[in-house]
Amino acid sequence: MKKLQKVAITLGILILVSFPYIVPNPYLVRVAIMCGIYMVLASSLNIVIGFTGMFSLGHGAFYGIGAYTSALLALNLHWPFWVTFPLGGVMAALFGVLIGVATLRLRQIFLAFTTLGFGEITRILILNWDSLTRGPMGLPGIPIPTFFGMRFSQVGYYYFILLFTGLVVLFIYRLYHSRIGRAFIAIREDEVAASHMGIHLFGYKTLAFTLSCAIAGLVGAFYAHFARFISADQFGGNESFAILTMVALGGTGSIIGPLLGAAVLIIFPEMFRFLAQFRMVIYGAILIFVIVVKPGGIVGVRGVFEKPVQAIRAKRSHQKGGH
Amino acid sequence: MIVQQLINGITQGSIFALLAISFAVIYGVLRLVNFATGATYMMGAFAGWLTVRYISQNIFLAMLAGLCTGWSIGFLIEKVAIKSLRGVARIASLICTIGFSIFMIEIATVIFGAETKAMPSFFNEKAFTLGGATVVWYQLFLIGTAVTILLLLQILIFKTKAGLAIRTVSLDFKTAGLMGINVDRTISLAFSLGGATAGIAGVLGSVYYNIVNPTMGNLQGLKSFSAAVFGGLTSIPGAILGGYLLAIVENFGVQIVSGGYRDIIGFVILVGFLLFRPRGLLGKKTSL
Amino acid sequence: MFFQMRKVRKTFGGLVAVNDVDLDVQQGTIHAVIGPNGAGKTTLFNCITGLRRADAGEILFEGENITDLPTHRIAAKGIGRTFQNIRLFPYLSVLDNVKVGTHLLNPTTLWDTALKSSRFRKLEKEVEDLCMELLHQTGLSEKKDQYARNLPYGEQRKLEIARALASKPKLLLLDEPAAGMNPAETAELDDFIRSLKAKGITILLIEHDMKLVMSIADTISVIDYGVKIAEGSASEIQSNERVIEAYLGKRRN
Ligand SMILES: Nc1ncnc2c1ncn2[C@@H]1O[C@H](COP(=O)(O)OP(=O)(O)OP(=O)(O)O)[C@@H](O)[C@H]1O
Ligand SMILES: [Mg+2]
Repeated sequence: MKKLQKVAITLGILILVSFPYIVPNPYLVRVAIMCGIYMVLASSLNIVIGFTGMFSLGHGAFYGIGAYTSALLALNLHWPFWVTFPLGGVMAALFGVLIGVATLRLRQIFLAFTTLGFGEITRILILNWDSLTRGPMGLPGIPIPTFFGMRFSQVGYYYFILLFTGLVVLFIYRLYHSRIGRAFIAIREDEVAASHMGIHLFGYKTLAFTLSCAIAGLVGAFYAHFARFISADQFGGNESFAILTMVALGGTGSIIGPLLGAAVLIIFPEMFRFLAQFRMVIYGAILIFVIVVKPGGIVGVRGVFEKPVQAIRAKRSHQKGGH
Repeated sequence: MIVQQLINGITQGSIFALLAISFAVIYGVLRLVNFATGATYMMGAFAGWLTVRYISQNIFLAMLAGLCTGWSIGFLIEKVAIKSLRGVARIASLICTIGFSIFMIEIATVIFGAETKAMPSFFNEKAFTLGGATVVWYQLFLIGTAVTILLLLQILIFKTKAGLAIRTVSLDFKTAGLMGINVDRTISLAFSLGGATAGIAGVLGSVYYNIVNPTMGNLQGLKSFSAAVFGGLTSIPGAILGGYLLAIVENFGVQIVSGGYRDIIGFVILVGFLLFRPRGLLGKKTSL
Repeated sequence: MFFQMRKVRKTFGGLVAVNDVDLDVQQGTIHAVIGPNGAGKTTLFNCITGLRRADAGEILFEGENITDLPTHRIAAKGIGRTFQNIRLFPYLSVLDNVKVGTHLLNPTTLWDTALKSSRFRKLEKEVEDLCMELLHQTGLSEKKDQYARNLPYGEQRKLEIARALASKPKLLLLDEPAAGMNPAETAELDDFIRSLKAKGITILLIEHDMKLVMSIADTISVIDYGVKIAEGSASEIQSNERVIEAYLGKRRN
């Protein structure tokens, strides 16, 4: 079994690595790059939602912060991509810590709204801070990264995001099977019990949130240099919802789920171009359908959406005094 | 100038207040935030716009259309999603209402297009001037209608049997069920009422701002949620107070910060209150 | 003094759930807390672990005042517990539930995790061994890969104890561990608790099963309406009039 898995993974990697040569079609490579970007975004959001059980609806904003940070540093200070890329992640992480510290003590529903509100604030700030962000006109002409003096070709972008996605998934896989990941999941399953195991709830929630934001910021930085034009509305509420839908569709709490969700929601609209105007309609419908009919998503393991009968029971009985 | 800000504030506050109540009624019975409130507002506005455009230039008819649309949307959301999700994590219901919100906004975009449409004015004549500020009849009409609806809702909730059921369910729906109250129907009623209020607010708002578009409810909904939290999500008078206060604070706030940042004020209040006084100005202490 | 509560008080609205309770627990003993339903036993535990804040009084553990520490810090001092209404992590495997219990013993950092350093592997291996050992002791090793929620009730209780032990606590609070167990399981539990004592773990035990309590407790404290009404050895308690009254008293028919 283990062996079979290894073979499958090796084969998968081989296919992915040779993809731009098997399919030397710029359009398809571009779709693959977008897939990578959204796989990373969905996986990172899943750390917060699926592992730790907290609801952040402002993920698009952290993605945007990374993108703007890297783009502005590159455009105004002419710093190289290899410096601005990590700084995009750092900046998003900083905001993540700030927002996290301010809001992670709130109950789920309110956390969802404050993060959403934060996303809106970010968008509005970007739109209005003309002198820095050029407001609604966006930032064009973001430089193409260079690699040993050579500018990235499309295939270069592809390999970069392939490697990055691989690293992120590997990191999340390791996290999942580590003390820290177990602490995240314990918090999702039962906060009270988790704190009795010595888990610092607030600390680990903040950590989960910050990691998630940092990864979103990094991929945002990449996106800025890939798209070469960014504007505020690319990182608004709809972006956050789209990422959320990917996580929900694929399956919250699993590692593969968000990858599948992202792939499906990026590839299908490309296949059914004539449905383009229905894209967000379909997202909305998927969100409803998944939660009502198939809370586990594609992967089908139990997700956060069909939870807490247990927690509810515990709450009821603690009103009677037990614990 | 100050008077003008105040009057504008009260007018816009009436719209916030209606939406804030929509949140509060539903939050009251289910401890659930109906995220689709802003989208319902927008759908109400479109219903009004269609009525005015294709049926008759009659604001009352438009309001009726908004009411019915909102009512049906609230009813549907409850039937399709909320009902089957009772007992599951509340967040699932919230995400589901987000799904509805996206769905409605995008359906409206597909049907009507993303561009903004003009909504005609009604009662646009000057009523009087007060301290240099002009007040048009429509502002009075809007405020009066909002107050009437708020009063009607108060009566409904405090003077009728259905209202008693709503209040009981909001205390504890398990016990309410044991007491022979039809919990399902009460929750459904709350959703419909919430939807209807949002639908009417949509018509009133679109006439006031003279615009209708698919995203008109987004900020309006979020801000009204802030208003509801501001006043106290568990208290209807609190939600109303929050609505008016938020609008007034916004109108005076733009004097201090530049206009573009106006929309942030609500969120700052939202976050501030959630963090430091989650029960809001008038909410009950234990209920959050 | 190993563990000491001084005049601990907890009220809910008008109800005094724990009323100025003093409690001394000697190291290495099994100390039982008994009392009728609603007497305030669980609330007492909740105050100890910081789940509820005592309104007044002090709780000292190994000479240190832990009254106002947050729950995770209290756990870190070496106090583990189980819950009356089992609170496992239902969708984690049996093994992972116990692994979460080792949280405090495991100094793995984020870097170790990201790089899968040799330290990471070593610590994970230690954790795995410790947890498997605990599962063997509690007879759950066969079921290590099942979701905790799929275990029968009695085994869930055992798993909760295993999870609490995984942090190597010095003081273990057990809230009705025998509830829902059949007589055979209870007898096993009796042995198991004794074996813990033999390993030097101090045990504070809430239990309604009097047979179990009388058999294993070195000291018994009786609580009624939040007040400690008696304390002593099993035989002293069995003959104490206030205790008999509390259990058979007219109020409770
Ligand atoms: N969170 C709470 N809010 C209000 N009252 C509470 C709360 N927790 C416990 N109580 C009350 O405090 C009293 C003591 O409850 P507690 O659970 O400590 O009793 P107990 O001795 O553990 O009972 P049992 O043997 O049934 O478990 C009870 O009257 C209970 O109703
Ligand atoms: Mg108890």
